[in-house]
Amino acid sequence: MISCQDLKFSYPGESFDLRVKSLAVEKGESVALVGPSGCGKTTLLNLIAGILLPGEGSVEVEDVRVNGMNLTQRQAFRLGNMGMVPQNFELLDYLTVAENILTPIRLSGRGIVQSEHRERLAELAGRTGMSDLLQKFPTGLSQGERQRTALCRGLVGNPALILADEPTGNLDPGNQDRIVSLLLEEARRLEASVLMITHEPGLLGRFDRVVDLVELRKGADS
Amino acid sequence: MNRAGLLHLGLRYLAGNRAKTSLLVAAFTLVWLLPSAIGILVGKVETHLRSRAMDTPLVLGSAGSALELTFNALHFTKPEIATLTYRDALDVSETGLGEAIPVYARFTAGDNRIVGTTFDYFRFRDFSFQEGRAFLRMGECVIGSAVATANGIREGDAIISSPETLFDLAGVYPLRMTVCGILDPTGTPDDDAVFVDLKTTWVIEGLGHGHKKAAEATEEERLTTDEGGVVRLNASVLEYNEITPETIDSFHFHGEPEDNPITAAIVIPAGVKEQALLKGRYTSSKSLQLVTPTEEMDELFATVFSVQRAVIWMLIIVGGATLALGALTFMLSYRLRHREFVSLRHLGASPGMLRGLIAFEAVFVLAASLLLSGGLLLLIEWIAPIMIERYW
Repeated sequence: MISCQDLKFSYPGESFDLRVKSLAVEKGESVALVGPSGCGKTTLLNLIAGILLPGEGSVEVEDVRVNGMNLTQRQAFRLGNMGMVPQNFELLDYLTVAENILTPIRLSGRGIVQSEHRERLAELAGRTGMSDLLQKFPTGLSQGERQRTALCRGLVGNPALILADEPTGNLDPGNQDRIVSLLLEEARRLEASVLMITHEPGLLGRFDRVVDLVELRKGADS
Repeated sequence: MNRAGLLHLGLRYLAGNRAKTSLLVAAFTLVWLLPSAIGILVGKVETHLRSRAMDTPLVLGSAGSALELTFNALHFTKPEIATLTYRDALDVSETGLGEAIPVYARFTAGDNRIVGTTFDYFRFRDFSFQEGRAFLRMGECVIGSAVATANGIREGDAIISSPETLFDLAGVYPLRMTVCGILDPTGTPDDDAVFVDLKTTWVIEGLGHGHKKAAEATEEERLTTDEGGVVRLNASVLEYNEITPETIDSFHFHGEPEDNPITAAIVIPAGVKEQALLKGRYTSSKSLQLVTPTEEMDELFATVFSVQRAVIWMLIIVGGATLALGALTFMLSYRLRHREFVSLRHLGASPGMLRGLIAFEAVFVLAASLLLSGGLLLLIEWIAPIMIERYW
């Protein structure tokens, strides 16, 4: 599913650089990515998503070389294959919960929401307890509700790969557990792979595998 | 590009920011609308005023503002202008150089001007009647089509002149006039006028009146009776406030009717040469002036156009400032929405979609304001002549 080889990345004008010798995530596998703040977890996630491009090496998702595509192709590929669940929800305040969840559908293809998408929306909303909140705006939601909205948005396109950047970072332990449960359950239903950044030790046992980025970088350095 | 998605997100953003969008559309609409609207309005007013002026060769009046005299004779406004005598108008006709049609536009009946004139005015303006006929005697009136429509007046109804001496109980009372005819619409100030015989306006002014015969007056109504039997009546004698076949014989004027006032006289010269001669005749007059309405309109619109140019330049400057502020608003809006665009990019929005979303607000505001101002201009184009005819 994911295959990163000999990755090298640095931000222009900054001393930080990220080197990853090899990282692989199998189809249907759930992986927790851990490491101290500033070690490059979000950067690695963005490289896999095609938001950033490595200086060297290759990123492959579903046997497609992500860093071999141009920007438009990468964006289309991400929309078609990946579900993004950001830490800060990144919801659009002028859209209702339902519209926020359906945003990836609006951005992809012809941008027309069809009955199958509405069915998927209802299904996800039912599983995440958001059915009664679909016509509300994000400003009227709690943190947990916002995160559940962001999670539904990441899943609405039935992605093959779910990339989640600390989706539980702003939540209390009860909501953390609920969100991760929902995420992993949905991933299993979709047979999707999951790569999730987390700082919560209590959640690590829920994943098939835990990858420490510091260790990955050591491997690349040696 | 994904047009449906772009349209949905763009419109939802605008709907979520209704107040800002409405203000921007309103401001931009004014920028496009005002200079064009002023141009249209001035153009319509010019057409309206010039067409009336072109139909009226010359106007004779008392010395003073030539423009006010023109407006009094052509549009029955400026009732306060200095008067000339009816004899002054007759003098023009006696020269054989042209014909003078008297106009006494000073009094009102409600909101409508009472215009004292002669039947020659009807012939000159080529009036036709939708009801009735022209006035044949004092106390009858012919009303314009707008007067009839606005007040629901038919032939045979009555119109009462507005009181001229409201606080003088012994003064002249309003005159009740019978409508003997209603004119066809002309699209000119004639539609809003009440036409009467010149003598009727003098009666309204109090220069002529009718009352019971002095010989029949009671002692209380007599002021003096001299040895020759001449009776002078006091103010208590009842004056008639309507001229009917029964009372018309009692109406009389003290003094020569030719010395009574008129506000203007429309002069129709016999030819080009006669027109030049007539103009020359009044050039050196200190008490009278003979003006050419088209020349007055030329002067008026030369001033109007210079003011219009100045106003439009100011509007262009204000419009430029408004557009600059609008551009600043869009730039600030873009900065405020930066996080939103980053989110959309992370989700997978294409570069074209993001560019489209950034431009959408500006394009929408520009298009909406252009459409709105275009619609309003069409409305102004349609309604301006009606308003000008109604109120000018």
